[in-house]
Amino acid sequence: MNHVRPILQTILAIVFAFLVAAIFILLHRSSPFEVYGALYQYGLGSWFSFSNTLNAAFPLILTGLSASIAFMSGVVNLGQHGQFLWGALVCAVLGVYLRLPSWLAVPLLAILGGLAGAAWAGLAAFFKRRYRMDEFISTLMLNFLAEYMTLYLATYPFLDPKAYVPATRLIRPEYFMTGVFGVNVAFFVAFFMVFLCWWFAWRTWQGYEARMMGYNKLFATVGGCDVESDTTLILLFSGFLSGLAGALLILNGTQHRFTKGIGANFGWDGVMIAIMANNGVFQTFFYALFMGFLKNGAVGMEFETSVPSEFVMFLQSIIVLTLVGTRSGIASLTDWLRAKRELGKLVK
Amino acid sequence: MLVEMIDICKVYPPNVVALKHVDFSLERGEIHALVGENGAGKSTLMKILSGLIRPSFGEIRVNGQRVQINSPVVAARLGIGMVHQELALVGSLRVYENVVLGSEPSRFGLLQPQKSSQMVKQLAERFGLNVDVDAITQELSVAGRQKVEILKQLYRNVDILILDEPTAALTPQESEELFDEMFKLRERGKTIVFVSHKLDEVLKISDRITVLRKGEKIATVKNDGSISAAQLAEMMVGKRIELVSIKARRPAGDPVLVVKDLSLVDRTSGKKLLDGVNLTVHAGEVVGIAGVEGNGQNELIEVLIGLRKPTSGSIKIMGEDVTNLDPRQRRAFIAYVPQDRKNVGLALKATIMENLIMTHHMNPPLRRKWLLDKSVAKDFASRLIKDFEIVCRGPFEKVQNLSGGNQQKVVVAREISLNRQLILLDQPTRGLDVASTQYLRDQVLMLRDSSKAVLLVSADLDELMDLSDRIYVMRSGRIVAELDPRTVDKTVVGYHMLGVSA
Ligand SMILES: Nc1ncnc2c1ncn2[C@@H]1O[C@H](COP(=O)(O)OP(=O)(O)OP(=O)(O)O)[C@@H](O)[C@H]1O
Ligand SMILES: [Mg+2]
Repeated sequence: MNHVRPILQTILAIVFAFLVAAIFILLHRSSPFEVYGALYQYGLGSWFSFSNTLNAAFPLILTGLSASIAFMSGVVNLGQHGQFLWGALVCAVLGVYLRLPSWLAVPLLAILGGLAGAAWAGLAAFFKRRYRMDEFISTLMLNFLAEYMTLYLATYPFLDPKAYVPATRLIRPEYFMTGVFGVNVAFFVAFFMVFLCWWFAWRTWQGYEARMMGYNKLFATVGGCDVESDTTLILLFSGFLSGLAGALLILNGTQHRFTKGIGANFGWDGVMIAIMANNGVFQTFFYALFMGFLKNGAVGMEFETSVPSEFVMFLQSIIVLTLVGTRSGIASLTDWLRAKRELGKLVK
Repeated sequence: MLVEMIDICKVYPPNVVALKHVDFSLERGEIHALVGENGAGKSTLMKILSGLIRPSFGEIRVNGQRVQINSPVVAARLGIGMVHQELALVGSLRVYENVVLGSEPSRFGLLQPQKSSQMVKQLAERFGLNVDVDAITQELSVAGRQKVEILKQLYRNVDILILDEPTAALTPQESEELFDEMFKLRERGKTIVFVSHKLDEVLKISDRITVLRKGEKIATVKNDGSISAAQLAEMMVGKRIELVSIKARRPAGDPVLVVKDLSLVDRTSGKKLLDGVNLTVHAGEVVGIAGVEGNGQNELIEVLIGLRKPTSGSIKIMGEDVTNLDPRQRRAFIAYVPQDRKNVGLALKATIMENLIMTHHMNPPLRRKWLLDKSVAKDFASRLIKDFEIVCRGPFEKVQNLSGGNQQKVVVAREISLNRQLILLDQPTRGLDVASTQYLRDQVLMLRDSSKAVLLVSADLDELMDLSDRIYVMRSGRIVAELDPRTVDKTVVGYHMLGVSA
């Protein structure tokens, strides 16, 4: 019962959000049936579109987890973007030059990408420990650095001479990750990371320390938690998740190379998903899927209906905002109703 | 009747019944005490009267008129103001700014900080509340912040003043001054509600007493000398409770805590917060620290636990020099009940269980290599909830839903059960009801008898005298006297605290 209620509340909130968005579609003189029909058809309707949704979601799951794990520990890692780029670049470059049997190379490349992200986040951890620099500002600044540095590397030393835009060469084709019935293996990796994160946060003692640190840092310090190491660990882990997202996008995406502007929004979407999910691990997974569905369905809305793409973005925002807004409203409403019932027993 | 609360029920969403059909009334110009165990519903009832929360059922009349007190603003308009048990001040503001916040004196729309500061200073002097009005609020101790809360309502000049456990962290002298002022306010026709667990205070100052038990009103009695503390306690609990404990004492053993020449200089002001403190606590003894609040007790405890680094001097625990260790390493030796439960002792948004296993989580059986054993944690939490009679709906309830006293019990239960050689207690009974205070005292004496070393800081001189085997008196960051509570009496300790010769 304890878990069922929030799920029902979320479903209700989603329904409500779509109803609200429908009003805007009507105002736009389009048919909600048509628009939502396209959304459904491209986002969920067939196995093909469903698997596409999962494929669109895997980087979001990972960057979302990256943000959730950090935020729940009170560590403000906003550097998902930079960590993602380093993961992608390292994987893309090594994927060109590394010569190993593919069963070994592919996991190795993914892990190295993750480690690149971790290392980038590790810089922020180092600044924090050494110079007491707030990770909020350092991770944010490191995003810009990462952007320029990776772009430089892709434009000069590792440029594919045949490309028209700054891009590295294609990674070796035998390193392309495949799918299972159209679902990227990367999705299953992300799914596994969901469980790993949950296990870490709720089963290990360092996860416990990290969460307590997120609630009240002074409490954790006085309680004997190793706040400094915990913060470092969280930054590294969080960076690893973002870096992994980047690497998997190279290995299992569509491009198989690092190009300018790759993964443009995955970092910030991850932050947004974490906030929507209240930093919950499974909630993050769910909202990442939901965002993947909206993204994928948006393609359909553009193709099949007359609404312009800006309007699709607008609808997405409306849906997300209403969803978050009503969710807590519905929760307090049910609490209030239960309180009324309890009072009824008392007053008769 | 000035105020009538009729048939009040309160259900906290979703289903915590906090008040059941409670009637409560106030007459003009009375001091009305509200007593009851931790979690009885005292704060809830008063929060309803002051507009902070709404009743689920029932009506409120002020001067015979039915009113809806939907917010503190409405309450203020009706002349009702409340000093809350859980302090809520803006930490970064100065004391006087907090006091005048929301009703600042201004001229032509400009704030007048000088004037505010001056006015608040006068107010504090008039009410005998010893607090530096220009200090930054978050640097004050809990007692200091408590005084700011009281000043804040006094400044607003309300007709009905609600004080929710105002004396929990005050020294007896300060309480006395506050009572004198309450009497003066009463003479001027003001009405005061006074919530307290200190029954002797209640009997001393109140005109009427209302007793709550588990959300129900048991009685409202006139305090005309016909009722005793024991009777009150019996009404509160529903059964007789024994209020004495036997002090069997064994000779003290080896030194556990040895502090040598400890000094702490405030870096910005250059003020000596601790000045050459020397003290020793042996195994099997309770050592009390007495002092007027703000004379270095706070800083001493913070240095001992490792939150602040001393400027010079050394700290040894069981022969080991811990001066340069961090709090985590020191926790292997120390159990610690901080005075500020809200900011230091608890994570309010976490569950009771998560709060109870803090520090315990570092060792087996809770910690199994990488993992935290969930079922051990749950059993452990359930046991403490039962032993310490924490009123709650189970180990997974959030601590912020508990009443003030029950939150304190969570901190105390966790630390007492830590089984460390040295136990630092900073105002450990703040907010605890009679029975819980008694239980804690018994526990402390039991720990002492099992050869633990206890260092107790308390504003409550009686508590210090009752529990301690030795008392150090602190003044201006120095230890100015070492006394034996069996041979000196309270007034002598008081003299040393104030620095006047006996
Ligand atoms: N926000 C809340 N949500 C749920 N339950 C609450 C909340 N606040 C208080 N309670 C419950 O209501 C009951 C009464 O609490 P209240 O704070 O009024 O007690 P109290 O008499 O002031 O106790 P104390 O002496 O410990 O301060 C308690 O059982 C408490 O757990
Ligand atoms: Mg209370």
